[in-house]
Amino acid sequence: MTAAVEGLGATHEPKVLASAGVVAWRGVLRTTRFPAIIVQSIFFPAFFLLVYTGLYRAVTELPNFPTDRAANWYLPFMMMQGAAFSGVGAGFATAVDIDNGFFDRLLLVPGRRISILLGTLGFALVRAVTVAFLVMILGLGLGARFTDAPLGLPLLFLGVASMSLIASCYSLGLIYRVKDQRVAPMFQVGIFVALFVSTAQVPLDLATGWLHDAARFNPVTNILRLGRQAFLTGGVTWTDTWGGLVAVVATTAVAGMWAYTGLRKYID
Amino acid sequence: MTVTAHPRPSAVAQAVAIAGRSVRGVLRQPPQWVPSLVFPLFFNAVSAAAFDRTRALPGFPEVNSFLTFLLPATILQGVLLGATAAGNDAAVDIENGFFDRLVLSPMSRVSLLGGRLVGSMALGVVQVVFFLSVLSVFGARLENPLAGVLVLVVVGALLAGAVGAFSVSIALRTGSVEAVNGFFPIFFAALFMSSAFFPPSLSGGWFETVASINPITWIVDGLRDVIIEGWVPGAAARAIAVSAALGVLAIFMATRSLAARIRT
Repeated sequence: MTAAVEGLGATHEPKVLASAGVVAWRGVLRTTRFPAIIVQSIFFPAFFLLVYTGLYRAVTELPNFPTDRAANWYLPFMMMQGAAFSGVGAGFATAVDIDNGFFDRLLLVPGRRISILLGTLGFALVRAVTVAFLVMILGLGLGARFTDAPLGLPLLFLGVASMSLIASCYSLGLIYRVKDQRVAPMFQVGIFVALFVSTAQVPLDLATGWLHDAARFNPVTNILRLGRQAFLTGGVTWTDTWGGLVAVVATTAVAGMWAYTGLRKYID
Repeated sequence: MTVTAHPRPSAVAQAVAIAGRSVRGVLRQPPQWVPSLVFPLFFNAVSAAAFDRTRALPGFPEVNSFLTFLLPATILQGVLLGATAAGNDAAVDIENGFFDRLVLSPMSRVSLLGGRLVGSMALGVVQVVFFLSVLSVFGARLENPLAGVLVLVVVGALLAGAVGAFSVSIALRTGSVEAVNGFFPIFFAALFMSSAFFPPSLSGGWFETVASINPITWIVDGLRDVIIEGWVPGAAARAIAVSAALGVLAIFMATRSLAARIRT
């Protein structure tokens, strides 16, 4: 009898990464079945990139603006915005799963529960990088030009990946705790505020009043600084890199803990 | 046994009842109106602090702060966000069958539509007063407060009516809340492709061309002239006339949609 059960594989717990891969793949399949999801993720950053490069073209004429092309300044922000909202999409998807009971069934599957979180993050990451890449192509078409692609591009995509992870973890941590779809608008509000209370629109030196003070302490400012080096005069420098790397590691770790403890609370 | 026939309420009384129901429906659901007050204020606060130094650029209008410059944009943003609630409301009524019951009642068709639009316009007026009150505390200034408030309130009400009528028209055509919300990005795009957030003459290029043919620009420029320069009859008339024209067009669409829905 035992042999028969073993033959069915009942005693073998699936590996974390394998389970996470399955969860991530489910997310990818869901996106391919509802292309509107990815179109929506691309629409807003693409639209805002188009508008900002046209609308705020003259802003680059301000003294000490670090580039003479509006597209160079706004493209990295729009890529990260797209990545962040792709991350929020992971929260939305989980909210739907919780609401229709699928998430509880997922918890009954043998294996470590952290694979559910890792799989969801993996799927959000794939989506974020896809969106960011497509927005980058659009940005290059709108006139953005690299100043330091070999070093800057990996740092830009590191920023994109971290924004996706931070946004995913924030929204997952929230939905795991609240367990109600009605909290979903808070995903977007939180990310929107974090993104815009930074150097999203103008460099720190040009920001005035409360925004200047708040943006200084917002880790998004450092992540943007890290990613923007690919497009700004002067290219990649250690001065603009180390702060970004610290922000990426620290903020991702804090957001990751928020999501993980949220999942633990949900299970408990 | 005698049957007492109750007199049928007038069309105005019916419209007031529908408007009241529409306003109460919105007030009972804070997620429908809170973002339309908070989001424009947040965006105003961020943009005013971010772009205040651009006032030094040659060709930028003489204005005491970027906050004042953004005043029309904030009001329009709030009104656009808030007025779609009328369409959402109508779509919900269609989805749950309440609209069919209204149609079967002896209610006037004009009241059915007019009531919702009056509700939208009332909320629009409240929004304008709210934004003016909050932003004036933070330094927004009207050159001629009386004329400025009057024109802003009239334009806010007309635009709220226009957007409300347009969203109700979509609701009547589709009967779907999702479809109504799906049209929201059109209003959003129209606002961003206008002079609402930055002077297009400084931007130049394709943006200036697009903004110059966008009716939202005509409204914003009219309002801005009244805010910055005081009582400018031509500017006020332009803002009011364009808003009214959009309202007439949207009401025409909504009337056609209502007729089409009743036929089916």
